[in-house]
Amino acid sequence: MHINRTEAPEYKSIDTFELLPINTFCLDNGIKVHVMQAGSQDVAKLDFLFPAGSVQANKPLLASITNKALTEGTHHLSGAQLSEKIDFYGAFIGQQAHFHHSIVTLVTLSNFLPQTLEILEDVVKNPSFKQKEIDTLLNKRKQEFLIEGSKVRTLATRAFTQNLYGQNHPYGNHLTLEDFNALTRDDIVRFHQNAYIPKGTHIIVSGQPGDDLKTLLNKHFGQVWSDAEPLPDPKPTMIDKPKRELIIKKDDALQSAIKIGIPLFNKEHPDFHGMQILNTVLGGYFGSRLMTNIREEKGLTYGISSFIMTYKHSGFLMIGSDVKAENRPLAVKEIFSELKKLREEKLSDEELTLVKNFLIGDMIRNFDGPFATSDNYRGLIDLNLSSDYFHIFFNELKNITGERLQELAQTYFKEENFITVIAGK
Amino acid sequence: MINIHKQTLANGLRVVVHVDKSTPLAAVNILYHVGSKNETPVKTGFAHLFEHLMFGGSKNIPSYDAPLQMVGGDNNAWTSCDITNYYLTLPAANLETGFWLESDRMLELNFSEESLAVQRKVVIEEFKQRYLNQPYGDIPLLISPMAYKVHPYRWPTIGKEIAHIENATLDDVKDFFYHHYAPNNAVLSVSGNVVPDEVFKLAEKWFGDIPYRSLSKTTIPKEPEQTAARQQSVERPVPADMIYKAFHIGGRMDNDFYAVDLLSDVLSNGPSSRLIQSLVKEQQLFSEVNAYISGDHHPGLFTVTGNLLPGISMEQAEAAINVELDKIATSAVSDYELQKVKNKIESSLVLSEISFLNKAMNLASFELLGQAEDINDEIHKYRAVTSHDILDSARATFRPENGSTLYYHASK
Repeated sequence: MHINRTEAPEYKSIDTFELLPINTFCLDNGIKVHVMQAGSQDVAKLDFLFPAGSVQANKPLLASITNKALTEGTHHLSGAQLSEKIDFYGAFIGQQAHFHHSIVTLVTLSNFLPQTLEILEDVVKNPSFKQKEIDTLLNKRKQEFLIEGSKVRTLATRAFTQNLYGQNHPYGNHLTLEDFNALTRDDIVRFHQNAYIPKGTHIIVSGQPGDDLKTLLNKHFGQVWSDAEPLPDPKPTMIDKPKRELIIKKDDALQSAIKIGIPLFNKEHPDFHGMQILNTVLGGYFGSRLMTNIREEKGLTYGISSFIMTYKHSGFLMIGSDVKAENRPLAVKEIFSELKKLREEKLSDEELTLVKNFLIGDMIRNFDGPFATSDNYRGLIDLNLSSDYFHIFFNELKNITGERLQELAQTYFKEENFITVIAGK
Repeated sequence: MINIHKQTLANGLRVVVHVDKSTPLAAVNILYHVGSKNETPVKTGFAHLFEHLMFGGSKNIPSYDAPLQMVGGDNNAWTSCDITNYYLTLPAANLETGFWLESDRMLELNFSEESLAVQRKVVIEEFKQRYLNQPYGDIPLLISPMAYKVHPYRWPTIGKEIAHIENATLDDVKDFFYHHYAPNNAVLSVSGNVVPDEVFKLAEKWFGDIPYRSLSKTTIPKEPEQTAARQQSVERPVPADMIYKAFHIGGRMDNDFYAVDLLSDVLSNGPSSRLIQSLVKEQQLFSEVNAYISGDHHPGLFTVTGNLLPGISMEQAEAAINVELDKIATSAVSDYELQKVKNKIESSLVLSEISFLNKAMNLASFELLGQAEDINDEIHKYRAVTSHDILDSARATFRPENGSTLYYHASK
């Protein structure tokens, strides 16, 4: 069979975006449950989002240590007994503290859901918060903090967020060694009482939880175990005139970390979707402008990328790369020249089509199956956005033009808006 | 149970297909049976450098990434000491694009000086970013040559030193390609929303005319049995001391693999595991401990690591680890504890079957080592392990003369 290897096979462009149906219902106490039921395996994932984030906590480490300490023992079970039980069912409980909520995740084989949910109820409602367990967690967290702090990229990121949000709002990510001594068991007990409450809590369920889900959830989480109102989650006071350039010296560093970015907005802003697409062109995929120029043409780095970070009240775009010290000025210069190009030249039709097609494929990957869908859907909860948000993005993606992207670059990629942070040499 | 369809082309390429209709996507995975253990001691890091060059364009296609992105696809690759694995995912309707791209780079690379010059620099920056400019990043560079004296596992995949990468020439690259990249040294696996017969047709169309190649016949030397304990101390500017112990175990296809794997689970898989309960929670000696096996094709390593808490001496830390290792090498685990680790394995196997890409990678790997169908026997092999098997494995493994210990001190 003779084949022409120089020509690409024909391909189909994807015109529709399908999202798994998301069913919602409320428990007896008002907790909102969002269900994505699908999947070939009898497994379920339940994410409990409590209004217990670091913004509500308003004290460094309080949200994350409270969240982690939940599984270290209850009034009925020691930490060791608790983990024995969960491990024996082959289940997994994970925790993450975010800015506006803290998450407790249960992943379990569906047939063990009744047993594992019962354990989870105990974990959420009756943690013992023993001083010894708190100390262990603080020691571990302190060591992680120190290890992270010896990486140039972490130093640069911390400086970048503090420069935008200051040291007083959690968005600034300001943490010192003294904070580890200032956290008390009383703080934790009180925060747990005030934040792990029915009001403001969401449960996101994905996979195959079985037909008894509502009954089971009501049994374990449907009562009014507290009638407290969620704690306030104030906006940050943005630093009025953030510094345009910051250098953090680290003389033993073999590479310098570069972080260059601009303050932006949250997901509700009308330009957000367009900026996501523009960010992809700039540094959001392997074929991006930055990756092509700085890695694939010049070999200055192992990787360079840009991303948009959004929080409930704010957001920013950040470009990041690690390069050897002597290449740092060239890399910075090239980053700014790529930004300039986006302002001055309209995207070719070919590049526009490529980026659109890539992003459409990426969307399908990001929403493939119930677990992936729930991970993405979770990002909407803070803002009370519905899943229509994803369809709106898809439509905007299908229809966006080169002119529009250039206009966005001219509006937001003004050179004087950028903040440059270097850590290393 | 994972459904499996298989064919082998005349040129020796093995093709494995798995149908998963729950996704609109498909994955194409190509595994080449070449890794850092196929390198010579004076040219290390080559298999991995080569992986980078595979994206620098092939005989008939100047760019690998752009045409794939154009059809909504994404891709990546990784190199280990045994294999180099390339994978892509894309909307199932555009599957043929994946075949076009992958077959052309198996046929012949565009051997360009320019691409080599750039990727040498990129890999050197990767070497620095991941191994030298990272707290604890140089551990693989220290532990491999301690544990292995003869076998090529004595250098890590990234390479022994930066100079080897700097000195790589285009002739080296060509030589490497023709000795290792061949249909008869690869497994192609495809999973997702596909029809097996159509996949086999595409495989024949795009890969069928790639010639069979004669492969490198270099034999890899066997590592002699270790007879005395090995130790090394280093001092680095890191925030905390760390201890790292590596013991010789068998290879992936050895009968005791499953017992040794469960042994590592008893020690550190999950919060109720022995090392975490005893060393982190009760005695509060470490902020973190880990026990894991390498799973290498040739005899590999059982590794135990711990990050020491401030005020804990290295001697104290090591003694406490040794107490736990002695305990598990002296008395058998209880039926309950054995059942617990088996339950965990079962649920992680169920979870691993959710991702169609994961299944494609695993199927290729099983086909390479024996036959793809073995993937469905894994659970039975784990279930068959007895507490006595675990005891035997622990006894055989945790002997001082079988181990290397790295004391990684934080400089004051």
